[in-house]
Amino acid sequence: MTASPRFEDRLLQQLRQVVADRPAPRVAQRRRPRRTRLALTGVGVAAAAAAVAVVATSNDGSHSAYAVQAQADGAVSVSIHSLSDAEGLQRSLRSAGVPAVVDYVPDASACAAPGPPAASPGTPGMGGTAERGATLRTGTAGSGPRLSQEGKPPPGDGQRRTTMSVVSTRGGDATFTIDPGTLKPGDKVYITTSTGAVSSIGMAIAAHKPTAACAPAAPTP
Amino acid sequence: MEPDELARIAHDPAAFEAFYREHVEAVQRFVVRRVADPHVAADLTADVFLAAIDAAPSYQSGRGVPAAWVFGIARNVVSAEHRRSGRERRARAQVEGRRLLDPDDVARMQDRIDAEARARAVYAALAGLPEGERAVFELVALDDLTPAEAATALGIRAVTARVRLHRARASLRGQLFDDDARPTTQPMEA
Repeated sequence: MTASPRFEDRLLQQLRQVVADRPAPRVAQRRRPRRTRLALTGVGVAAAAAAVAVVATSNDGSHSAYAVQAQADGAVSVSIHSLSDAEGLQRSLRSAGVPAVVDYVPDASACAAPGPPAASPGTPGMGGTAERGATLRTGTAGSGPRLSQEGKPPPGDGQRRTTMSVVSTRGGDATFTIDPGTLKPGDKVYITTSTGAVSSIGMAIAAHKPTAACAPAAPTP
Repeated sequence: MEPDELARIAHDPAAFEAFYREHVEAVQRFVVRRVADPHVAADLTADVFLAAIDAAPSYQSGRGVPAAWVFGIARNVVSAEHRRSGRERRARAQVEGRRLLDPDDVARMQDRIDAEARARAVYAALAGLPEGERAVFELVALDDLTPAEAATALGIRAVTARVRLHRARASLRGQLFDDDARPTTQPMEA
């Protein structure tokens, strides 16, 4: 356990010399972003509609379903590995300060308007809806955690804003980051899936439940 | 040492010394969990710190605490050692750790090595695991890192580390721990 002053000290002296002999450091540091994260803010949809875009490969394993991590800057990062514990994720997010509504039930009938062609044709949802058949589904949030399901949510209650984050995937997990500090009172963070696969997870911030595009939306405002 | 200061170890001998003193014991123990030869262990200890000096300028504090970062480097160094011949490595090494050993040091290193026999047996038994799972499992089971620290060491996300750990445990459960928790493989080293 104890490092007595022998080999360790001789090694230290050698290494100190190596350090001393190195050229002086450049001032500019190379920066290598380790992860690209695409976040689109202010997707100004006048109506309540919140588009949700998704990127991904599919992987519906059954290991730890999700991870929620608070970052030093106050943001909360989320990784979803499988769609198996919506309640748990919702609980974790809320205890992390994110007013989340998590609903993994795919619901084709809630499609407000078909989006562009479905992005990942190779990943049929488990909800029995092919291709574009899926949609962002949301439950009602807040104190009453009932996950109501309506056939076709009316798009017209004029919510003020929607922030959309593109969910990216790494290793089959859907990942995104939310900064609770940017939420306005009444905002909810909706995490939904359009096909019932991880590949279709989307996240939207809105005051009321958004109506989804039926397929991953193009990242245009 | 604070993460912000880590980059300085590459060019500031005093900063390096603080870093070295903080981690040399852990690095040596890390190494002897994987190799059983005192001379190779001394070489690898030197190599880990040389690699840390090289890597420090690109260290990003977002990568986590230095201790986990060092373990990631140590793992790369030891893995590389197993992939190539010692002769090849020593031809390029700036500092040959083994030349710094006197007989007492060899004896002390051997004591460390003996104390970690079981860890090396586990290490050897991991050979059949996929590399990603093996990496996480090693750091958690042999080196007592938390899954989150192992993720930092390996530059992967915490959730990925946990998933791999879970899988590694599942596949090892049968082969490693069935026989009343006694690994059956012998210590490795060449």
